[in-house]
Amino acid sequence: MTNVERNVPAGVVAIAAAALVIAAIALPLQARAALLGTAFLFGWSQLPSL
Amino acid sequence: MWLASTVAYSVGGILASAFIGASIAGFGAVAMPSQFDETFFLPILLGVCAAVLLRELRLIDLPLLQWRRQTSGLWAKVLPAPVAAGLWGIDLGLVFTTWLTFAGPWLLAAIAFLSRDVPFAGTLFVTYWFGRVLTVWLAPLVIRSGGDLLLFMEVLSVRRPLFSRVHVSGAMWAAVVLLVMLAGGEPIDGRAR
Repeated sequence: MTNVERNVPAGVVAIAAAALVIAAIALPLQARAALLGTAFLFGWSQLPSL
Repeated sequence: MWLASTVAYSVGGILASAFIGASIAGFGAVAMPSQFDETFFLPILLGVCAAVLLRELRLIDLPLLQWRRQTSGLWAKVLPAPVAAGLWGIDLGLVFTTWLTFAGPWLLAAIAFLSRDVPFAGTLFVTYWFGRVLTVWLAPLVIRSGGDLLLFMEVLSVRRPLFSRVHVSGAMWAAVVLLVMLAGGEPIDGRAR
């Protein structure tokens, strides 16, 4: 397994998890702002074209 | 050249995403009467969220409403690279003018429309763009050669189910937030009650 094959899936999951943690911190402060976590995850999961 | 093009791509997308989010919210503000009961909006958004979730979990067969076009590859041939990248950013930042991979952007559009809050909706779509453009900024961490680029694109294609799960987690998170808002009486337009 190459670096790319190993690191890309791990990076995708790590950044998604970090976004969810930040959104969870925002939830009790202003619930509506926590919806930005959803927006980020939707953008992050849109398969990119370089 | 990579940095200039990536910055142009990012800025183009930020401007276009802010525009599309703000426009949808502005249209919502015009179309929806201000005295409309905000508590009515959250169940509607939960319904849209459920439809997105069920679609992406392949539990219902819901066609994806989208403009079936790609951004123009010709721009790279006739324009300097940063200009072409900026135009791609604008084109992709408009979200609904090119192919969608998943249904989530329609939930964002519903949130923006019913929020009728131009700054919030602009921020919502710019955040979507940040997620989308981050791949381009991080790609050099794993791409060291032309061969890596081909492998990178192949991994993205093969790992589509992983991206689908990330998308589903985003929709599930939206459902949690909307339920919290419904329980706490926080309206989607952000005004204090």
